[in-house]
Amino acid sequence: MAFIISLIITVLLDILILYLGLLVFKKNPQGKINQIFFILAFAILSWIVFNFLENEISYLPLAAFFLKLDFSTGPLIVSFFLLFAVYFPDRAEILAIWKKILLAAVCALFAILPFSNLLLNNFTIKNRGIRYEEGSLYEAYAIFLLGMIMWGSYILIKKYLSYTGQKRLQVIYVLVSFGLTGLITAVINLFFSNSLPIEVSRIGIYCFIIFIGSTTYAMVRHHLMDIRVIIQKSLVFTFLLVIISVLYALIVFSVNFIAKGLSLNWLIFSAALTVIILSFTLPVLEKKFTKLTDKIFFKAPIDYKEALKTLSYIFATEIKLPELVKKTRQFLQKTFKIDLVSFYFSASIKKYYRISSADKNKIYFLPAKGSYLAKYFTSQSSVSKIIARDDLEWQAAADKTKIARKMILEMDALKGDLVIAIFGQKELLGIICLGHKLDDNPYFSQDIEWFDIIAKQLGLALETSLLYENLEDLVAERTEQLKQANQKLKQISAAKSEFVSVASHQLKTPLSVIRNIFSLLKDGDLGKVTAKQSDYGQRGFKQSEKLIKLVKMLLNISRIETGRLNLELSKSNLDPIIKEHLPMFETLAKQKKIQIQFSPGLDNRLFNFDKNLIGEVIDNLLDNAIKYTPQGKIIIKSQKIGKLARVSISDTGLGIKPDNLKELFQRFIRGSDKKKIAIAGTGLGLYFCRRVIEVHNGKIWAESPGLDKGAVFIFELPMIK
Amino acid sequence: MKLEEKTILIIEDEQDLADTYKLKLKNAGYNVIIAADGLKALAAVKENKQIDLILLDLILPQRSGFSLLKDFKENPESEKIPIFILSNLSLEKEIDQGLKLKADKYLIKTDYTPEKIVNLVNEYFAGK
Repeated sequence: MAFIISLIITVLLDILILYLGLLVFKKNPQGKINQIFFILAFAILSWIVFNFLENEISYLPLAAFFLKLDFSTGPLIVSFFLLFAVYFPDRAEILAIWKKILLAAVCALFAILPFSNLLLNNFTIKNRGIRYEEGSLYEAYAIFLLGMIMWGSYILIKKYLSYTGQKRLQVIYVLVSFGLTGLITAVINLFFSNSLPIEVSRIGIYCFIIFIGSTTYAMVRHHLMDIRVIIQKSLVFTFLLVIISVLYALIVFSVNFIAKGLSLNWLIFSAALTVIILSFTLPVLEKKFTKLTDKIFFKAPIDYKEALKTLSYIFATEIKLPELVKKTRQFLQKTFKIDLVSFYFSASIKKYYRISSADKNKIYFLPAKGSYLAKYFTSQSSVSKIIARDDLEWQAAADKTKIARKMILEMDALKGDLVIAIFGQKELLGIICLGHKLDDNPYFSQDIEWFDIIAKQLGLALETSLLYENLEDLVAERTEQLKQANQKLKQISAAKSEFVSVASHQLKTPLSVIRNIFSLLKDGDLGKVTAKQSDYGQRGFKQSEKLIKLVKMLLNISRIETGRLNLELSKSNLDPIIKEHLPMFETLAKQKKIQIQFSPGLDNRLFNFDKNLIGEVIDNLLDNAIKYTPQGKIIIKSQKIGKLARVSISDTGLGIKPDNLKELFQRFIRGSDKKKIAIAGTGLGLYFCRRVIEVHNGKIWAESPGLDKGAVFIFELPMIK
Repeated sequence: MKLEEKTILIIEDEQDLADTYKLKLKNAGYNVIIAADGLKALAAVKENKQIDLILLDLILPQRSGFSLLKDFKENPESEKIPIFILSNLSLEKEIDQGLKLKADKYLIKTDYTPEKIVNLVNEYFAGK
């Protein structure tokens, strides 16, 4: 039974070591360090085989032969360990050629030594396992092995101290595992091999898997997390096994010592004692060891779940692109303790997203052409959305197109140890470059799985954000266009008003001349005129007066519209001004048999207004009232309403459709009724009135019960404060 | 004072306009001189010692009406001649400036037909 277990363990162990050795070798068959490691692994494998055979074969000469082979592989192992230490991870030139030759010679000497009597003699087979007596050079052999190991370790420690970052980490893996393995093996195998039960002494041999395993990991590393876990677990397991074995051996030894002879009862007793002691101490020990190995392998474990929660919250709440990128970067940097996290947008994003000048320093782009990383991620052949720089190093060694090398250069330029591609629904949006972890740890496979998840989420978040920015951009763009159009309209309007203003002014003089000539003509100043001539002179005079009035109104409107009207405000009473304007309309009213009534109600209260302009408003309103009233009455009323002066001019005329009441005061609008259109007018009068009243902070409106029911025009002016 | 003795100087660059006022004033019995620009106006005042009233336009070639007004009112020889501004400038600041420079009246052309001018002038001399 024990034989079969031993056989199974040995075979499995050998297969595993062979696999790991080949794994490293296959990564780079040309690499010296890979070759050295492969030979080292093979030597260890052979050693385990010899060790098994020497103990399991009951034919003494053959068992003795394998024992000698066993001992002769020792120098081979330590020599290649030394070589490994020299070459790993970078070659350190420390051995002169003659030293190498000398060393090789000494090594060869010690390798042959087991075949003489000087090292081993008097072989016997006891139970299972060969026993021997130590020869005269046994100590020298042991010292040689230990010396070589210490030398190799010394080199590694020196490297460990001089290196930083990943290399330092690689060295520590080798050192720790080798230290442990070497310690256990040396103690058990070298010094207690004769006195300990065979199963216990085997542990030392099995321990070599720790060394091979972790060295493989250190070399192949990256995110081969599983190996890391296996190593950690097996380390803990080995620790416990060693303790159990040592404890059992101690108990058996003590019992044997006390009881002088080993009866079955005592064996059972000691086994029971071991179990009792272990059952109390084992859980505690396991915890301690796990904690210890955790410290070595996992420096600061990350709460991935919590991190995912926090980051998802950022993705869900941050809509602004620069902020989203910034917060994600900061979070990753803080959580994973990375020296630098940067985000580079794919150049193609530019077509969707116009960077504002404020964001110019916050948004980075990959070069439009010549980004090997972008090319890699977008190519059909790319499997992974995440690349580690170390992976690329391996690829670069075998890559003939040198693309991997170029990608490495690009990553170095971006200061990224790990690059994560962020994809949207269709295309590459950008990449996140994660720099170096501050605790020198590499990126673990758990990290990478986690990045894989967040990469997808970030892709979605970025896309949403881009859409939003786009929309904002579009709105901003359209607003700007509207603004410009509006500005242009304003300019045109201003130019028009300016034109009207200049033109009106220029019109005044010729119009005055014409009017004056008509005036002279009708009055007979130019010689005697007939009644008809006088009549037509009068008509010409009247029309030119109208024209002058219109021009004045236009001028005032253009002044109001361009904001150049200087209101000539004075504290005045409104009633006398209304009264002053009435006589002008008397003749016209009499002709149409319209009665004009004025009931003043402001009681000498003073209001602040421009007498000329308000006078013209009254003129206009009265003129309209007479114009649109075929016959009847016009009543003018003034009254004080609160702090307002209200003037209403009501007529019994044509009235206004309710629909037209509001638009009456717009430019060039007159009532749409046909009767009204037949009546001459410019459509400017009420607009002028509105503008004048408005610049006085007053209000003007019209009321009418309907067509043919008359109308009331009302304006209000605020009182002086 | 007899009307025939009154001489009125119209300073106005728009001949047609000046003529309408001149005609009406002449018909009303006044002696009327027209000066079409600032320099001619100055010369006219110098030559004719007997000017009883000036109708002054403000926008003129050579010299502006305001500067003429200032000159006339500062010169002892002409300071006593009454001056009516007759212009189409109608903003309060312009009217204020005219009155500050001691114009005797400020008239807006569009508001004053020749007939109204004659009435005003008659009233003015009658009141004097």
